[in-house]
Parts: sequence; C-alpha cells; structure tokens
Amino acid sequence: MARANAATELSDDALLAGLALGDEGCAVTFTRRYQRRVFGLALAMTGDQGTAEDVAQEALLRVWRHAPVFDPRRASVATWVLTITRNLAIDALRLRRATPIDPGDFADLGLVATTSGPEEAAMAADGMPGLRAALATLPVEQRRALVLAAVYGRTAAEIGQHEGIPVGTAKTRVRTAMMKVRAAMAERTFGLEDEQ
Amino acid sequence: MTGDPMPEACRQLQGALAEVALGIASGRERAAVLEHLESCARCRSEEEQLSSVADGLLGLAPEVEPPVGFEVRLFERAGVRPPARRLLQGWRGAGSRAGWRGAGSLRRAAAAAVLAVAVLAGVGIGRAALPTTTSARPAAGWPAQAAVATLKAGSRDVGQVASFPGNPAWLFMTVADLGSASRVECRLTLHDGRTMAVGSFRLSGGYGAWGVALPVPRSQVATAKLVGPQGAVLASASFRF
Repeated sequence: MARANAATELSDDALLAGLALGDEGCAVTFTRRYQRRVFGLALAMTGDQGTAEDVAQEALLRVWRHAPVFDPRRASVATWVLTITRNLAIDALRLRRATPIDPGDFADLGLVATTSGPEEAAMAADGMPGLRAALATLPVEQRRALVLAAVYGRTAAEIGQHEGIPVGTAKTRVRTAMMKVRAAMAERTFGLEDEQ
Repeated sequence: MTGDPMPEACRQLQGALAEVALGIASGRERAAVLEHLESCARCRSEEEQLSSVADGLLGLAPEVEPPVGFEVRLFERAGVRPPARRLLQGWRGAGSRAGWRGAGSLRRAAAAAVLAVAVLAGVGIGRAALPTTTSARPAAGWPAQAAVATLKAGSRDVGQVASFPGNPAWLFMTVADLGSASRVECRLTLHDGRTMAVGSFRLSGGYGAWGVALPVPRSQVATAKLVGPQGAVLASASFRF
C-alpha cells in the first residue's frame, strides 16, 4: 500500500522539477493533482465551461513549459499555478469583453467549497487555514471588493466603476477587507501557537 | 503581541501595503512602498503576511472535475502519451510490484528536483566535477556532482541523500518505507563534531522527498540523520569527503 504510487508521494517542487526534465510520469501526476483546482478557478472566474477548459489547459501547458524557471523561493507551486490560471482567465474575459461572474458569487462559492479528499484537505489546510472563515466575517461589500482585487486583478478605479462607487471608497473597502482578513489570520496563528 | 507603537511612516503606508500585496497598486504607490520596505523590517513582515492572504484567496475557488477527455486533450496538445495507457502500465497499477520501480521513480524525480533547484541556485550542474559517491549502491539517476549516501535505518536501506556543491550547497533526499513517522527533522553532524538541525519535512506513508540549502559547505557534513517527533534517530546517512 505504502509503496504504491511513488510519484504521487512526491512534493510539488519535486514533481515540477520532473516536469522540467520532461518526465511523463511527473506530468501525469502533476496534472492529476492540480487539474481540479485549475479548472475550478477558471470556471469560477469565467462562468463558462468551454472557456474554463481552454484556460485550464493553457495554464497547465504553461506550467510545463516554464517549470525550469520556477523559483521556489518566490512562491509556492500552488500559488504559481493558480496565478498563471488567474491571469489567463482575466485575459480570456477581457478578450471576450465578458463580464466576470459576480464576485459575491465567487466568494460564496469559495466559502462553501469542499476538498475532494484528505490529501487535498491537508494541502488546503497547509496553505491558508481559516481564510474562508476570515472572509466570511467581512461585510458583503468589502468581500466583493476584495475578490475583485485579489482574484480578478481589478484596480481600485475599476472596482469603483464596477460597483458604482467613488475610487476612494473602493480603495477603503479593499484595504479594510485585506487588513481585517490579515488580522484574523494572525490572531488564528497566535491562537494555534498558544494551544501548542 | 502589540509591541511598540507603529511609526507614522509605517502607518501612512498600511493601506498601500495591501494594494501592493494584491498587485493592484499604482506605480507611484508601489515605488513608495518598495522604498520603505527596504529599510523597514516591520512592514516587510506585514507585506509578507498580506501577500500570503492575497495568494490564499486564489485558492478559495472550489475544485471542479474537468470535462471528460480533458486529460487526453491536454496531453495531446503537450505531445505526451495519453495518460490512460501510462496509468495502466505504471503508476496506478504499481501497487503489487512497485518496490524497486517506485523507488527508482522517486529517486529520478528527486534528482530532477536537485537539478532544477541547483540550476536556479547557480550551481552549474553542467560543469565538470569530481563526484564523490559514498553509497555502496550506484548513484544512477543523480547528476554528476552529487555526493550520494545511502540512508539507512539500521541495516535497511530507506532512501538516499545527495549533496551538491555551490554557494549555498544543497542537500536533497528521498525517503522510502520509513515506518509510520509523519514528520521528521533533518540533523547534520559536521566533521568538527558540531550538530545542527536544518529543517523538517513530512512523510506520507513512510515516503517523501525533500531538499534544503546548507548553511555550511557540503564537505563539512559527515552525517545526515532523520529524527522522529520523539527525538529518536530513525535513519542516517554518512558522507566521506
């Protein structure tokens, strides 16, 4: 049992290095590990199955192509992969002049998202424990502004236009939301440390 | 937790820090923040935390199973053999016969990790070098500069540890079938007798691969040990330079 699927036991960094060297086994394992997250993000952002598949495939291909230059000191593999996906989804939306799905819907999706297994749950927990809970405590308008900025890459001016509010108000919402989430995360971290 | 009051310069940039972390700050704001961060450890720490939050928000989208045929289309575009056939031949069906094949794959992938990170670190894998192989087993699959030692738990081989020259030098290891420990710490013993912990990593079902930049030249490393949560030495590998 423990010996099965040796490649699936590899860290993301090791898999990415295997990708860089053209190892097909690593490519299969990496794809299986990330395709649901990549496709999920693309679908959540574009709201269209076909566009989401195009985005997800292009994102994974770019990961393969650029694996040799990935720098683990700058970001985690998950962050890198999802950022590539996000940027491609933003490009796709702009190309189609499409309106992104409602940022409130995105946040709501995220708040109820479930992981598909213990491995994924562990990965998510390692990443940002409590982030969903912290986001859930925000007023709706702040959560929308934060999602527009963090996920859709919208500037304060664009958020203002999207939400029909002055730029200054948009800035305040984004900044306040960000600081609240960070504070909640810090509080959680300290709490966990106290428990140990 | 509160510590010293926040200086006025830091207070004025708090909002901009958030926008920089989100990647939506204007050029002027970004420049001001980056200039401030150069001399302010407090705000650098704050910025790192904000960036973590921004990164984490991307992970909030729910996982969704892609449409049927997604993998096949992806692999066709990439010019890779369709995954279904590979799975039949290799990974998924490996449960009953994966022993050496699995360990080899693990070792090759970890070697790939070594190569990629070493390139990033400017080690220069392509240059001629004199490898020092300390393992009784051949160091197949590792780049030429690797000094490879067998990781042993008692008399049992449970993986390999490879060190690479450079500044910093690097240490990589693969672990296979090392019992039930879910987390192990790597401790080095140097030739001058000093010991140092260089990090810890997770094992899954006794398997794992991990690497770390060394705080000392690799020639100073005599032994790498894996220590369990209770402090017991679970496995060790000895180098000879």
